[in-house]
Amino acid sequence: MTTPPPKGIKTLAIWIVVILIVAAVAGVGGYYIGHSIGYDEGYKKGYETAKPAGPVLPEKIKIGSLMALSGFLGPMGQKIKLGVELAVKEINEHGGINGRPVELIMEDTGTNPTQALEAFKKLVEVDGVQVVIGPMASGEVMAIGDYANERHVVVISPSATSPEITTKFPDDYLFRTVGSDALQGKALAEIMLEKGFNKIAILVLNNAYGIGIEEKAKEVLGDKVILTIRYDPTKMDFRTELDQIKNSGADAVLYVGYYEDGRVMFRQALEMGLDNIQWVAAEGVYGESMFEVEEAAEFMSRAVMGTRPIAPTGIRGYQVFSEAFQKEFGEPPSMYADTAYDATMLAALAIAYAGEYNGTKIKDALTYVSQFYVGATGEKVFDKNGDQLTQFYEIWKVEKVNGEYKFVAIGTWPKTL
Amino acid sequence: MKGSNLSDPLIYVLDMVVFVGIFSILAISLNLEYGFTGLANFGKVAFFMVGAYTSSIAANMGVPYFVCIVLATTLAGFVGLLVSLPALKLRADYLAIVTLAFGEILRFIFKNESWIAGGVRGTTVPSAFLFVNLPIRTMMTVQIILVYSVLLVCYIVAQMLVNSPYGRVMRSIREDELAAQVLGKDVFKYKAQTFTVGSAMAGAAGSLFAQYMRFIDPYTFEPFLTFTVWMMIILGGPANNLGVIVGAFIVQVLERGARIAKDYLLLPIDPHNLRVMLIGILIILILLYRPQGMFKESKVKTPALEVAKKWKKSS
Amino acid sequence: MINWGQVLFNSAVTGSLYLLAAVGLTLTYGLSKFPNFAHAEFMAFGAYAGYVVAEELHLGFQLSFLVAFLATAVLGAASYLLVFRPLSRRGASIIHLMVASIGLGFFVRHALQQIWGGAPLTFTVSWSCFDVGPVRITTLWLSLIGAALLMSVVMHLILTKTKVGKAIRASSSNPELALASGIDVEKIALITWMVGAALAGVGGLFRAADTRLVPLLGWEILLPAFAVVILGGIGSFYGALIAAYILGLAENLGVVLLVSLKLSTDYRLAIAFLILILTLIFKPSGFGKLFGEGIKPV
Repeated sequence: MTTPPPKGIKTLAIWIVVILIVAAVAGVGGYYIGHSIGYDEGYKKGYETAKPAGPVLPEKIKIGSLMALSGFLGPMGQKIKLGVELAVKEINEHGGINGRPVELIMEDTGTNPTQALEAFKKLVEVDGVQVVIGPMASGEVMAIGDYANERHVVVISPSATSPEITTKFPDDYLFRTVGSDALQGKALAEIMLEKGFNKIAILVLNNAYGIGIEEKAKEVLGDKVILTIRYDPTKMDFRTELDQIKNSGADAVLYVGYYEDGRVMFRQALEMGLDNIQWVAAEGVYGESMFEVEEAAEFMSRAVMGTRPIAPTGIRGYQVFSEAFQKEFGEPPSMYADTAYDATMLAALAIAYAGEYNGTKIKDALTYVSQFYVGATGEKVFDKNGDQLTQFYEIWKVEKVNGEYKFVAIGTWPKTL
Repeated sequence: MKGSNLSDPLIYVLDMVVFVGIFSILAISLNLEYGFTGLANFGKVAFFMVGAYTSSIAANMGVPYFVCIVLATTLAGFVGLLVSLPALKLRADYLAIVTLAFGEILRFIFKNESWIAGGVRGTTVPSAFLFVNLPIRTMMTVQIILVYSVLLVCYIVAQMLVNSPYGRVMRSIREDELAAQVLGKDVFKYKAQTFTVGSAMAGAAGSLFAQYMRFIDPYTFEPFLTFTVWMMIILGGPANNLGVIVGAFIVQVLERGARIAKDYLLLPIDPHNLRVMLIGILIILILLYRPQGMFKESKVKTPALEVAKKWKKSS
Repeated sequence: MINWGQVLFNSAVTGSLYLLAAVGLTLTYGLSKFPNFAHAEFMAFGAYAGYVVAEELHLGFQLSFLVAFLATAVLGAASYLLVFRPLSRRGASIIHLMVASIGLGFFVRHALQQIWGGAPLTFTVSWSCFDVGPVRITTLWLSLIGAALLMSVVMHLILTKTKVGKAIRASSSNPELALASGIDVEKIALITWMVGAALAGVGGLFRAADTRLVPLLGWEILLPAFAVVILGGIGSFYGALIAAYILGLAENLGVVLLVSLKLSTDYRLAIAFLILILTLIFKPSGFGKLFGEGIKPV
């Protein structure tokens, strides 16, 4: 054992550390306070007095993005962000917004509302962003809602489908390019009724997305639902749940899941022999990533149909988008990569129309320009709450053609007039 | 709604200051339990969650905030007491696992029972200060004052507990429980009381957190939050209340710093992964080479110590 | 109408996975006297090692098991030699070791995430499925059960018939007594850590093949594995054997119960925790005493 250093030196060392830390805090704080005073008194006053002719866009236009790149929705977020990146690339290839290039600043929310809010604050306060694409999860949107409205920053989510966002934050800075699930649950239920199913099992993710659809579907299906299972996706061991469905004698299953658990669920469902009943799924499992697991693809081709939000006018737009995506990233777009792409494009349009990098102006412009945009998911007109004005769903199924699996559209909901 | 469009980096710094404050309260609460009394509480997030949810439910019913935080603190403390009764009889590693499992079970319940504050969807929470027409810097300053006032109270309470004969007993329990018992101390009573106080403080932190975030859901309260608080204690130095506050500061700075640094540093490695890997190694190194953390254990500053010092000087 | 046959079979599958995950944990816990949270990362590491062999080098799934076993054994040895043994020698307490294992886990998990990313990876092996009466079976599940049983038999033979095995049993349940009996506890400890980690790696690989591979893979099974360890008695291989299948059964029965009670099956994990808590409070030694662990000297 070495002899400890004399007491005096230890105390001195501790004091030095403490002083350094205090100095660091004071320094950082002082810098920002000083800087801000300079900003308030100097630049801002000057700008207001001088009032340059016409609005001015900054040299580089920042578009922020909040995506779950790690955590529970991490796998999904890694794919959805590509939609944003494609849009930014295309904009910059065409000269940017009014000649100014776009700078994309991407932050990870970790699928955690606390982290989402912290990342949002960093984007707004440190990077000075006025428009943010994302976040993905409804909970994350709820967490940043108040702050976005207070700081007048536009938020466009490509995938938050909870009806609560409309009720808690009407008429404000929150927008979404995806329809509220208030409707999808109803759509799925009506499709099942129409097909004449009477003994329906509901199998949904145990989160806001799954439960939201379950509740709305139940309003329509009533007592035709003979079994409800809300499952924990991280468990990944669904055999007993699937067995329950088998034993219940159900003739159809209403399913809500994502890729990660969906692939496992379908594979295990195939193994359990559940391809003899009809599965009707929400859009969480729409995407070629599902085919990475052969058994899941096979199961889907035998037994799964579903809905996904897309306007009829979007069919061609999606094709164009999908080809560009495939060319850029070497893989087909995932679910919500398209709505993320549209969100980014709309943001750029709004900035261009506003002519000023100012959240309030961008917000006002956004509703206006959305009337004229037709994108990867079709029309994207915002209503006064920042929700989608119209919502259509495509009904799809999976076909196996020459050993290859493909998604095929077989109808729309509501039925086209 | 009044607001502004001007980005203000000071807000981000002030935001960090608020989080350091809230986590300092958590760190002090764990410090009392582990640093001074040797109780391995790995379920800290559970009491944080109880406080947050209690405060949110009360606030949504229109209860004024100071009542909300009192309710949160009391209920969290009560839950702590209930947990301590069966759990504190266990040895250190069992206690750790039980508290960890308890935290998870509680999270499951909050997640699946939608009648408790929205279940899986979570719930919005009104801020403690309902006058929203002040500029944001003022609001942040007010929040900081609130959080740091509570922190100050917790710090004083903790120091009072620790710099007293009570504190001596806590440490003796940590060092050698059997000896403390032999000396006639009702060891279990002390442990339960400490655990209750620690849980109550965590509840207060939870209440502050909920009204600051203005939204909570079960995904906010994962076990990793408990581990983060443990990191703060290990870094700062167990049994030193100022030390753990510094630990809280360092961990927060690292987290925020990594987020900002990634825009400026072009590393081949994702800064988020790098940060966590470094923290992992740092923890191991500290435990190997300086287990007492950055700041050594504070002495028990009772009047007796002053007398002893004077006596020592004079002899 | 419950298909009891299927429930029982599923329980055997779940139980086998838990057994593979828990054996290493219980042995190292008993021997080094602390719960190793990095055990979760041992499982993930083995799975990724197996992935490299099966999916990146295309050398076949069978080889991937061997590689997972060996690679994770190396990780286990490194963890023991670089982290846990030095800490013990410096007089680290149980809590210190626990926290160090959490730190180690952070390091390994994020290293894995850095190399392979956070996106889920899948194994392209296909397994055939068939019915035996009312019970659905796949060859993967059979392999899992088979591997667990094979491992159990091998472990049993080693633990009872060989000198090393007996030394492991002694060291795991009563290190002081073992040392006093002249056993080189340090060498045994190293072997225990290597074997324990290796088994965890294989368990992780099975889990990944059955579901998918992500860095957090180990954490999904870690807490139930702890429940198995506690229920079976820390340090007791036979206790873990029984406890694993009991827990598998309880969980699957629990799912049936939860669904009929219209509760979310999210709670199925809570079943494991509840068993864990109840065991610790009412019978902390678990099943261990049943097998005379820690009482009989070698």
